Amino acid sequence: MELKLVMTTERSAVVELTDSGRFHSTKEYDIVINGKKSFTTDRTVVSIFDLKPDTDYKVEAVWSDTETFAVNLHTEAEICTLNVRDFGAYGDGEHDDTNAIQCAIMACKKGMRVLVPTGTYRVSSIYLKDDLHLELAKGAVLLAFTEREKFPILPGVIPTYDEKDEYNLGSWEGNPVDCFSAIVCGLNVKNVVISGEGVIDGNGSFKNWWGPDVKNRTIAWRPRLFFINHCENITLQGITVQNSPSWTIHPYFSDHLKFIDIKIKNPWDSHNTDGLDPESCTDVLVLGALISVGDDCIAVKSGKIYQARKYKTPTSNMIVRQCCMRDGHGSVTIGSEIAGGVKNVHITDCLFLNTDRGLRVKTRRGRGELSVLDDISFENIDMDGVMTPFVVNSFYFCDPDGRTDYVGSRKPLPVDERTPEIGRLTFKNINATNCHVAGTYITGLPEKKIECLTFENVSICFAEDAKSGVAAMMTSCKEGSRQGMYVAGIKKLILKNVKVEGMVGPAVIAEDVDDLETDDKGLLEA
Amino acid sequence: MERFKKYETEVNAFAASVAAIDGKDVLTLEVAANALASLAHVTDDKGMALKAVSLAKKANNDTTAGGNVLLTAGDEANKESVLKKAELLKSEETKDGKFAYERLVFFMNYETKLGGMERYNGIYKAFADTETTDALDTALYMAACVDAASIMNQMVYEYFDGCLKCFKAAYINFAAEKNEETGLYGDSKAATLIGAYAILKACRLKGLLSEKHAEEGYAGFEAAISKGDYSDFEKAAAVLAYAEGLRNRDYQDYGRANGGVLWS
Repeated sequence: MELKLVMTTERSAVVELTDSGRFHSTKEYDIVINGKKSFTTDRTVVSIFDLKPDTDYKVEAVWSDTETFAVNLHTEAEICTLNVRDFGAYGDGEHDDTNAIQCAIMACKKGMRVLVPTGTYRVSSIYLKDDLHLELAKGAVLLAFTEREKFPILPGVIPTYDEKDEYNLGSWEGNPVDCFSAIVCGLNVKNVVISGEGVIDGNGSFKNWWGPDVKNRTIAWRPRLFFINHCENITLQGITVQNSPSWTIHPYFSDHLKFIDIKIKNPWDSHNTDGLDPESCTDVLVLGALISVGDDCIAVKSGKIYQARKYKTPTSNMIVRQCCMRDGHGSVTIGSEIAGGVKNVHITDCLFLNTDRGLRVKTRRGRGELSVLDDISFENIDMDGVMTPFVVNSFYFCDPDGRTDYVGSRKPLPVDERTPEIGRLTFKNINATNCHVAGTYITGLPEKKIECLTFENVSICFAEDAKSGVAAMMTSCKEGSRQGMYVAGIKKLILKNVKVEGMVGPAVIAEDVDDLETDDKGLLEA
Repeated sequence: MERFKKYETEVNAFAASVAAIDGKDVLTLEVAANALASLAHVTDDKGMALKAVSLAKKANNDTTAGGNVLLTAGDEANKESVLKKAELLKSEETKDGKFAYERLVFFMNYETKLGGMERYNGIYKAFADTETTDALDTALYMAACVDAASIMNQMVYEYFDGCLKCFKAAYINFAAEKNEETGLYGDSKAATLIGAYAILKACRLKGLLSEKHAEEGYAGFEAAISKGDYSDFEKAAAVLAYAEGLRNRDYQDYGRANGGVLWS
């Protein structure tokens, strides 16, 4: 066990206690800073605020006055603070403070900090710039307007003058189409930190963005709360983001991203309010996040077939660690817009509570031959109250043509340039309690089966009052309850130390599996 | 577009004339119905819109002609006719898997609104596999490409882009047919007018850069208009190009005055 330093800014730091906890530490402990007790916490990843610039600190994690773990840190230097009030922001919840905050941001040079102090600041779209540190103080709320006419539009495609290429700004569900600019938006910027205890509130509700027109483009597609396009070295730390008009945090073709100790909150019944959707991004770290939303908590993406063919950019090298995902559709989802592929994504030491699905892959015919998912692992995960812990759906009925025979047919179709591929998926050291619908519902395409699926040290048990539901969103999946592990369309399936309890029927139903390796053949018996 | 306003009287006369055609020439009827519908949309003329539907109804249900206008009008009264025309397309598909491009726009419209987009891939392949013969053939093909792109669901983006790419490939061939002295393409008023329509619409859909190409569309219209006698087909083509010229712009207006629709 140790206390590790994760990051520092001029005014804050993040430490991680590695004690085998999953989002919560195994017991509460005190944070002591330079010998003085600061607060008590039960989190494995902890932000410390109100530090001073260019200063030494000794941070200790003290367990029951007996065990102490310490780390030394030195905060970064700061030239000056740009308080948005000094730039004319009202912070009274009424005036439009967009321009004042934008002015402070544009004035910020490297080594300076833009501070949004306590208050409610009405904004439409705010744009990031290079070398920016934006801090939202405790009690600071950026509260978005909701009138469409207040938001600029990011055009999907602007043709180049030589007509050989295009400049893509806007995006919606994997396509380069016109969308409203995000509430906080970064276009081609680098070196940005947004930190603090404050809140960015998209102000979404069923009276505005989530209303009856929610599935339609009206003028343009709905804004995200946070959208970065072709950005590098971007960190969000400590802040709360909530009530997003649509996807909450949408990094797009961006690299070297960190989302540390952030809280993402949207009502469970809000439409398409995914928590964090990295799309065609590399080097992404999600650490200590709490996500509770109305759609998938984390959804890893890489666009639809047009974008994939043009840019050939998968999402890769991603780590999700010590996070808590709750109440949404999928805790961690790969898909469905994954035409560019997803590689080297690892989810570890996380806690999933009451989501519809725990670990979820969704894809379909039509994503294309560049849609290759490979080297994806889930390890050391606790799930409680998750309807179906593991779902791989190769027949996901999404998009305007999602309910066609082409997408839904369980018969093998010819492999062509539209056929996606799933490589290696590994599930290890996972404990799923109080499940409801099924242990797993895994379907590979009959014409292009999943290469290798490994379950090792996995335990699944069902709730006594298990609810019924549909395990996977595909036309051939029927409603049910307490189903064991259903797997189909797999080349190699490995089951090692797998336990399933409380199911009705066999623990494992395997169809169209070429090679099954298990240490317990009893799993397949009724 | 102020530049086209001076042709208003002439074009309105053409519109009145084609509204009264007998509908025996299926291609002329198809272009005329689309032209009247387009002019009605731009001028917000509900009477003209009814004339477009009335003209479309003149086509028998053993042809797909008029189906596009009837389906776009969305009237329950036309639904039976639309479904019969759609059945005809399916039987053609069964024959040899190819569609005549004149019918592809109706098929794209049908698949988008009623067919679940099941056959988008097949429709796109039909566009991609088509080879045209002369300037008029190419102009009609270009018009079909942009019409299909504007009707389809943009969220199946690869086919939307595919239709525009088909247009661009054809446009290269079309441009080679231009007579620099007369400004006509293939020495045909009809080809020039249909081509002008397609070029201007492609600019509006950002399939072409307006800055570089819109002038070709405007100049083509002006080269073909006010030049002697006009057949019914040429009149219909003139109305179609004129209507597109009126609504053309080099920026997106996002349909703000039109319920926020795409391609207003």
